Amino acid sequence: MRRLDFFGIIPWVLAWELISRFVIKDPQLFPGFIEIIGNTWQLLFVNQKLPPHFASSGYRLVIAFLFSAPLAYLLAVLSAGQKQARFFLNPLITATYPLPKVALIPLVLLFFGTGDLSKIILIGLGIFYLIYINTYFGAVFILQSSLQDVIEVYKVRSYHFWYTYLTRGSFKSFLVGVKAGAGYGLTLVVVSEMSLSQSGLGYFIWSAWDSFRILDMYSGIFIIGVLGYIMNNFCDWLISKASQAE
Amino acid sequence: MSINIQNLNLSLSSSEILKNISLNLQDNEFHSLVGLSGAGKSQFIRTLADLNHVAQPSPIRNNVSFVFQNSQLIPWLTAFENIKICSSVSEEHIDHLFKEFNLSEYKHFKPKQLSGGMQQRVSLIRALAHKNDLLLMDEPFSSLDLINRKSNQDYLLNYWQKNKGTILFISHDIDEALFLSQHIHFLSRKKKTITHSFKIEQAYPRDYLSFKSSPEYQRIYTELFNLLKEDDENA
Repeated sequence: MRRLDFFGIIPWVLAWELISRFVIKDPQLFPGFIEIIGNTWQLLFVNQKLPPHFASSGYRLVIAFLFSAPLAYLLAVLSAGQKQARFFLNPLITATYPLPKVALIPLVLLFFGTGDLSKIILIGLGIFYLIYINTYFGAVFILQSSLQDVIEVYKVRSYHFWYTYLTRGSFKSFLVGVKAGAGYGLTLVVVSEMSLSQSGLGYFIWSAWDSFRILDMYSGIFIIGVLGYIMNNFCDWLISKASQAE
Repeated sequence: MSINIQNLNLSLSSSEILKNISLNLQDNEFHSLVGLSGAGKSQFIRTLADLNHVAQPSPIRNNVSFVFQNSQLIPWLTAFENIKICSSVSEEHIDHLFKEFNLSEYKHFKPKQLSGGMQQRVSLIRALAHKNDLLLMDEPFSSLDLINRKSNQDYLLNYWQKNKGTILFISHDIDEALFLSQHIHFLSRKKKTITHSFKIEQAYPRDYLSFKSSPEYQRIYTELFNLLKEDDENA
């Protein structure tokens, strides 16, 4: 099925190519898809201008995930399972979730400077909310299900309640949050690098636009699209594995 | 330790479900409660297990185990983990129970990899592994086909005859209640209380077919059938 999804891109690629050749006919503004692929190949493997930027963005995204995802997972499970934690956390989450994380860039810069840390924190914040909210509702769903009767009758407590029942049970919801967080995290990587960076895919796209290297700009966008596609499919694969395991 | 329930009442969302139910369960007795759908049988044992979250707590203070209608196994855990999470008994004892219920090969299977009959047996092992004074069973075999139902009934009776314990079994199937139990109580949907109780003298182990043709079986079956019919007409 996933392989069929991939082939679904072909008509769009074809349409792109045809529009660039016969409708817009301006390779500076709208280069053909084949030309973009050729240029991306050059940037990746011949003059190797893209890999360092790719590595910078990947590093920020991975580090942001590493600190944000486990924290969001644990706090969401804790908040779902314990009234006091819910009392403290949920109002804060509800009030701050609607804030566009991009609007926090100046604040993050003020506190954490212009280095990698500020970008990682910004990306991590964006990821945190999506994972927290998905995991929280997954855990609440479990607590409101008829399985709760079993927990009550057999007085399942402590380690088995928190880990075996609630944390393991909400793992699939956590993965759904990771999928949503990955997409949003990628957006934040690019946006943060556009405004306060000397490396990364966002910086590469912005500097290509700035110096009117339009084809390079398209290549940068194309690489982000491919990265998003791979991440999305990887998360889908993880979710389907987790579903099969139940 | 006998369990004595006196004048139990239950109202949910301001509608009266049960009225003045009294029941005495002596140690190691097998009781069944029969009645029409909607008579409140499940609500009754949920109240005993304190699962209705009503202001009035369960009238019994004893440890209970519960076998639910739809096994209620936790889907992300293996059969073994489903028992372990609910019980403090040793792994050897759990292994012994799996062996007794002929499920040793399946203990590391997830619930969805097991048949409905096997799932209910795991649910039964979970209940038995939990230290309890009363085993409550809410129509545990009602969704199974005839063969699986008979086989699970045999597993239950074999275990009970060897290990004893007090059981309250809910069923809408008179035949099942008669085959399994020593005492049958009829819960009237109209009167919202237990109106009749029957004692079955037939000794264990019971042969299903010969017991079915016995005068005792015929008499109680007919009386219960008429009670159900009458209750249905009156409702």
